[in-house]
Amino acid sequence: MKINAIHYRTYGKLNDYTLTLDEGINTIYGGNEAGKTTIFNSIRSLLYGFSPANRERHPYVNWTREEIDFEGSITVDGTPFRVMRQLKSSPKLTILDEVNGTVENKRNDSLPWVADITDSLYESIYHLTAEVLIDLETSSWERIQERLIFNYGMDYLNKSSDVVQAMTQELNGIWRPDRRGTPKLAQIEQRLRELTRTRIEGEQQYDNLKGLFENVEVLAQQIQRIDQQRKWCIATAQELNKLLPVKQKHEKIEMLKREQQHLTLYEKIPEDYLVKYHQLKERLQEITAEREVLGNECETLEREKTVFNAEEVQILANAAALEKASDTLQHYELAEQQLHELSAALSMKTEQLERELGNLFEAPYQEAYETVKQMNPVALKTALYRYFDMKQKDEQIRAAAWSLALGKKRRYGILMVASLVGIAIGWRFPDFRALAWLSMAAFGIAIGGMLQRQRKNQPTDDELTTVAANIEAMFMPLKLPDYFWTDTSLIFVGRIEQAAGLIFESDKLSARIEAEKEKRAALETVMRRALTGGSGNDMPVILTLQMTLQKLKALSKAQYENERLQDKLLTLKTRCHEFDDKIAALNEQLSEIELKFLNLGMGNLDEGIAIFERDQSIGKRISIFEEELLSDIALYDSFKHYENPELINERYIEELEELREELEETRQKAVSEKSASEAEIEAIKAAVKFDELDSEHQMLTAEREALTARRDQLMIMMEVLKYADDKFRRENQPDILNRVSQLMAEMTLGKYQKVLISESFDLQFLVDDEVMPISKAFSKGTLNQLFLAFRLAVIEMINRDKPPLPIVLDEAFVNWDDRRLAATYKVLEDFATRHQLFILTCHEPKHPYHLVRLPEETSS
Amino acid sequence: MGFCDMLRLLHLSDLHINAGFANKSAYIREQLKLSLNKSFERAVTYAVNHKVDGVMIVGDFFDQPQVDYALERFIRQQLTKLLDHGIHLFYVNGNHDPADTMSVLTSFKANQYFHIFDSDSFKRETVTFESGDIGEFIASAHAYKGEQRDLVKRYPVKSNAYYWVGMAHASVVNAQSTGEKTAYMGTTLPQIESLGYDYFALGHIHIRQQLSERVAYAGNLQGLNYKEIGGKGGLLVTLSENSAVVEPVDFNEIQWEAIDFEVTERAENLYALETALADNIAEHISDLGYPPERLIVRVHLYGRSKCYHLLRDAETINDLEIAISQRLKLLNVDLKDIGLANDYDLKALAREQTVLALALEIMDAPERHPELLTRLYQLPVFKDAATVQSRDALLREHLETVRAELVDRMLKVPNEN
Repeated sequence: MKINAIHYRTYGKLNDYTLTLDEGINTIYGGNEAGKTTIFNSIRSLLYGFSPANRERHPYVNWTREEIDFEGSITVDGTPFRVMRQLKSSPKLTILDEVNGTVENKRNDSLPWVADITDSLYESIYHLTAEVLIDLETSSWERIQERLIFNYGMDYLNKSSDVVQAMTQELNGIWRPDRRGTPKLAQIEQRLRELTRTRIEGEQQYDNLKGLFENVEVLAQQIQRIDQQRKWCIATAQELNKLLPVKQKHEKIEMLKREQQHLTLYEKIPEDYLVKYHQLKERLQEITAEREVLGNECETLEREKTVFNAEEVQILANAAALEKASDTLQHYELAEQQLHELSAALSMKTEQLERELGNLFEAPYQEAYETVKQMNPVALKTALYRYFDMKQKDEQIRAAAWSLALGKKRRYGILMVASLVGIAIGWRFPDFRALAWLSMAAFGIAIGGMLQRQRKNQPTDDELTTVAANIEAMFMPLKLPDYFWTDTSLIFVGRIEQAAGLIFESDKLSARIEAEKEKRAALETVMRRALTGGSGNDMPVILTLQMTLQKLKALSKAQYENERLQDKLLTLKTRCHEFDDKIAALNEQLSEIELKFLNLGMGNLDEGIAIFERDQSIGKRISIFEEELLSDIALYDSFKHYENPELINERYIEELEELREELEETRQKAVSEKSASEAEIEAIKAAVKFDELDSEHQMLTAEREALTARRDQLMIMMEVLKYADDKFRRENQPDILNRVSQLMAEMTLGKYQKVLISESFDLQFLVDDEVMPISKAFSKGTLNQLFLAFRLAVIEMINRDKPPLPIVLDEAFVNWDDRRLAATYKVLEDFATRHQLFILTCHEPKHPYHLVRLPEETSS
Repeated sequence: MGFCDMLRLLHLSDLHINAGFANKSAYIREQLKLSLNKSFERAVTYAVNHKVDGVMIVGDFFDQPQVDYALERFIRQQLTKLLDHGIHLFYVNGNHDPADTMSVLTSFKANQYFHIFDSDSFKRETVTFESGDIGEFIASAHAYKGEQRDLVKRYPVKSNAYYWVGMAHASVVNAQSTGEKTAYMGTTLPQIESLGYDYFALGHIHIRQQLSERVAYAGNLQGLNYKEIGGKGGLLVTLSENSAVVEPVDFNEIQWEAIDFEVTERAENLYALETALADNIAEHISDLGYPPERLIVRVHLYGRSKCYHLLRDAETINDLEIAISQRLKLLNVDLKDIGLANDYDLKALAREQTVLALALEIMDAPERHPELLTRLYQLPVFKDAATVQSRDALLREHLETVRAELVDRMLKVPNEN
């Protein structure tokens, strides 16, 4: 590849400048800062693109235009190309095939023909500058030797040995097979071991925690248990405190019950028995006393009773009959009295009748009596009426007088009745005898009045005569008075009628008297019978009877009195019996009770009662207690059903209290021990953070992994590089050294015959058939020549099968003497047959090669 | 008799409730712990609010037997809440919390709603739920840390009309996993399905996944590290006579996210890189709709960049992480180099006639250099390689990893100025 020309539109200091180049050696001459370095840079840029490919950072960007713009005219294998490169906002490459006219647009790529040699290699090998050579002067021989032997002067590459050394250093920092020092991996391993140890320790601590945990668990359970026990203690104590008085009462009761002798016997006796017993006894005494009084009373009464003799007894036995007889006597007396009365009445009647009849008729009484008696007053009256009717017509006037007379008669009648009443009263009551007499007088007056009226009645005319005959017939044999016929007022008839009435009454009285007499006889018979029982007819009945009745009366009285006493006695006796019954009942009850008491007293009643009294008083106390117990039945029930009643005692409650205190103390201890254990657990757990350990472990493991990988990478790289280096040297070093020897001999005009490498990789020279070490042999110039020889040899080696690239020598010959320079140019001329050569210099060139003078103005 | 209604179970596993977190920041670690607790609290609240019949914790409830005081209290409180609400708790011991190691749970054993499966010979518990439904719960536990036998093989086959629910903290072959996980209690899906259960709840693998209609891993409650990304929680399992409905429910308080980011030549400097990274993360998390202050984002960096050297500097990376997390208000940002390289033209370098080119050539075909291989295979890294193939593969892997670095090391750092 040849560069025919480079046209700079703008490239650093070069503006609108064309550099025309020859295909062989080109000497580019310019003063300092004329742009020689710019030209080398532009050649590099032309071949490989801009570096850096950034307008802001590229050193040759024109300050005013802010760009690079240039193009090269090149020939590759005879084909001309135009290569245009621009660096504006971005790099741009245009390759124009001037034969075919094809255009290729790219960015900042290398030219396709230089692809086999990198820009670094190109810069390092094809560009030899004064700076590099001057640098040799300040370098140690060892360094120079290394650069030449190991790197063949390829300065863009680090020396393999340097790279290996750097890697060794890094590797040693990571890992050492000899286990010396503390490389990172060893540190990590150590730290990991520490972590593992810490972890194991931690796990052990955690294992120990198991003990603590168990301890905590045990303590927790203990506390729980204690709490339960404590609760139980408190509850039990509370309960027992409640039950204790109950129990005490209960025990008291039991004790009292024990005190009660013969309890079974006692219990059979109802509690009120003693009271009852005493009451009964008292009652019995009272009743007995009362009974005695009654008995006495009975005796008194008995004594008071009358004793009858035989006659009296007889009388009394006959009392009923006598009583009857007494009645009969009364009847008899009454009959007697009646008889007297009737006899008196009859005699009075008879007298009256006698007087009447005597008044009416002048006939003997008996005759008049018989006639009137047989007369029919009604017929008479009728006859008379008839008579008077006939007579009436003439005698009406008399009628009025008659009626007046009749009025007088009525008044007489009333007087008569009143006088009769007075007589009766006077008859009945002796005190009123005077009244009777007076009444008799009045009666007489009345009768007189009456009779006056009767005389006025008179019979009438012819007919009247018949009638009068009839009427007279009626009165036959008697003779009628005269006035009769005139007696219209019928007074006579009335008197007849009255007489007839009296007759009738007299008859009746007579009949009654007879009847009374019969009755009296009958009564007398009865009385007699009563008195004698049939015998003793000889004794005056009435008197006897009256005497007997008198006796009877007395006897009856006595008997009545007796009976009264008897009644009383009977009552008393009944009461006595009642009392006796009561006493018996009481005695029965008493003996029933006594029997119990006797039993209780083992046959001794008083003892029994005493026992009972004592037991009862105990019983009362018991019942007071029991009442108290039963006042809270629930509590008493719970006492009764309490499982361990023997535990209900103050001592046990105290024990519970003590136990509770003990438990609380133990609990307190357990709690603090538990807290301590928990705190310990927490502290241990806090001290060992497993997750953090794991985190570090993981990170370290990852780091170890990375570092191991890194170590392996480094080791592999080192091995590869060492191997490559060795192989490269073995394969290339002999050729290069031969070629370096050749070039060196040519450039030094045969002084340095050969370049050798010792066993220990030291450069040696054969000078005048003598082997010399590099350090002894060389001047600055010779060293520069050796360096150039190496470069050229390497270029030849590199370019064996690759397109030859331009070689740039920038002020490379400053240390050359003329002879060696001439010899060197000869060498370069040979190279120039294959490579285009650019020799940049600020010194006036002495050789007739294509010369390019850089314009002065560009260097200003 | 079962099947009168339906059975609702919350399937959880691998809570690792007392796990340590590998984060350099103590603050973040604390946040992760608190959030894990909060996630568990959420799960419990969910169970209570949704009145589920039971909660299954299929192993690794705990990361280790040692539980600190505060956490212990918290766990007791939460479990008590569940049990007090009459929710049955089915707890199977896992490899992290094998049988008889968790003293925290001892006190719950007497609770009628607490069912612990702590025997390596399967336990079967017949539970009558409040609804009247009856469930048969079968599980074997990890009796010790290293249980690898297939205990599921011994489970009884469903033999009545009740709901049959199996549980196992086990590795099922072919289940998706975040990395190499020890095949504790390894079993297979056909093995599980052959039991004919209504549902089989799995634990151990932290990725929530349904292996079949009735077999699922609940995954863990909240991601434990950068590998455990995305929403996490459990599964709400609704069993009815004819169907099993398995729905994921998220409980995670903090969410881990991972993003790959290619550092290109456009990121010429750190500021540009920071902006590009922030934009990229912002775009990613805006899709999530998750509060950034509860997100931990890991960014996997790869690509060629001139910032390569800067990005290899821990301090720079740390500054960058802080700047981005502050900018986006994220809980944490973690930048991880998974293949950063300088922007050298490796191919060109390889074509040169240099020791570097030779080294690159060797790395491309190490097999051509038996002498080197002999030396390499003596290195400690290959000591544990089981087979020649695995050793060769490992070597290639390493050579691939170191290529860019070797180049970078060999090349002189260009003067930045």
